[in-house]
Amino acid sequence: MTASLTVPFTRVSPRLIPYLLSIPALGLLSILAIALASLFAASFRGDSGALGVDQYRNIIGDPTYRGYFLKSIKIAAYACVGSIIFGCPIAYYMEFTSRSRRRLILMFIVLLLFSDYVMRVYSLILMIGNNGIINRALLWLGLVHEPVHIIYSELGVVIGLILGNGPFMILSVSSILGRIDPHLGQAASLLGAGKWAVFFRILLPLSAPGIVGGSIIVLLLSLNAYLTPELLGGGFVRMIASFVYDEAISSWNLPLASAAAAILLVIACIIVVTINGFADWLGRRIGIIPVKR
Amino acid sequence: MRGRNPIPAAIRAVGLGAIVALALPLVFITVISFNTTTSLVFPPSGFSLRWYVNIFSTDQFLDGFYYSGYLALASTIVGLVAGTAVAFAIVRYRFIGRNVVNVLVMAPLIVPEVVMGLALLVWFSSSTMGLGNVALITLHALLVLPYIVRIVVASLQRMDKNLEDAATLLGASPVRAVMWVTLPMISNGLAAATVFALVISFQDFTATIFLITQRQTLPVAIFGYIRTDNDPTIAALSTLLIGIAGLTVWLIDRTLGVERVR
Repeated sequence: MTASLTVPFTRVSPRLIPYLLSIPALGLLSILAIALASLFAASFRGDSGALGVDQYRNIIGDPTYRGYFLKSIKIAAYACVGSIIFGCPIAYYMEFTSRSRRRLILMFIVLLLFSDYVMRVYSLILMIGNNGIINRALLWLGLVHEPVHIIYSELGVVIGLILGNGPFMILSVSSILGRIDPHLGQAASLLGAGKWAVFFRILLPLSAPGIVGGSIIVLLLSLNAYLTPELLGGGFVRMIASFVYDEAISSWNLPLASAAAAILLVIACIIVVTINGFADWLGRRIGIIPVKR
Repeated sequence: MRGRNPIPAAIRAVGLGAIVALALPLVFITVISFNTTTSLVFPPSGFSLRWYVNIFSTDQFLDGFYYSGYLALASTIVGLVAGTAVAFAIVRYRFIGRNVVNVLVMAPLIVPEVVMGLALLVWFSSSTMGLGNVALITLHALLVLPYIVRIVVASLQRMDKNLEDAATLLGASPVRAVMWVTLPMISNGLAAATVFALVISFQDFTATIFLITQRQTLPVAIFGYIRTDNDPTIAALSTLLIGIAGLTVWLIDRTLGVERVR
């Protein structure tokens, strides 16, 4: 086999073939690596142009700048918890319904992800905006006398992020549920366990790897959110992405923007590492090998 | 799981409610797009297609559509070539550094889009190339690469490699065997990877805005329009985009099977 592989590559050792095949992708990735290196380099350019950690000191020392990070982390955490609370039931519902309905729901979830994100956030304004359908219905029914302010607040941003990024949680959890042996639940209920006991002691722990994987995706995407706070925050909610964008594009303050982006990258890495570490620990604790994707 | 449903009724109710909550905005935006009046009111006052006509007389949408399409096609071609080649290396060869390559191709998934966009802005704007199409195609190729590699790797692993070996034993050169046996056998995976890449590139916003110079992509044009004008043209465009998304989901279902998307 190895001998025949060398036929068209008479002058190329077969051991080199995998490296040659990797060249285009690695070339592309090296541009990213170089770009990230120049981002880090730019972030260490001080206010006077000399090398230094001025930019990092500026961000950490300034309560407004620091606030963008703290607020983003808080909002991302809420969005993640919300995605678990509303995403998991969809995944469970989907997995334990008829085959045709499961396929239909799955196609709908993928349709959401394939639809333009700007448009989806906009459709949310039509729903829960001050002049939106829900407020009109409430006013018409006489339940309220003035519109309920749902969006243009942190709550609005969190709702937007849950609707926007929740589908990733649904897909992540349902992919794990599909691999759980259905007989486990049947055995438990035959042995007398109630539905809630089966749910909390079998289904939930076994789907934990899916929740962990989904949480990482939702946290990273929410931390990175630009559109959602811009459209649903009404100027009151500023998150990291808006800060980085305004500093870079409007003010052309690349060193400050780069330092903020570098901090964001570090936070993202910490999230991935700690949550994966937590999942491994949890897996050993309850005796499940986390499913690697 | 046969027999009675093992999920507590309360959880099923929340699940069903959440599905409805996800679907309602799309339903309403579709209904509003056919409204006669300029205000975004519900229930609609009449049926008209004027907002659909308006899409095609709004230059920023048409130009955005072409530019997004151009970027999506270019970056998907780059991503497919690079991604398929490296997927072959990962699946078919055991070599020193294989794990490193395996991790590196997934790295763009961890780097937040803001960071990626700004990093490429910093580098391209200081290089002789400057910003422009090359910078945007590079960015989008990086964004789609992990998805392409993941799908093609899965397809190659599922494929029966004996058929490729049979072709080689019968005298086909390895290149010929790959071109005429392997690639056709993973054509469904390649088709799915292409659709995924096109969709991801077409609708990227957060990283793209850093590298936009003169020409806007469609999502950027929509964002700008929402901020300045407020009429059902956006609703009509959204309905069109939902239709296109529906078509791509159908394509994915036919090529890869929607169950495998998870």
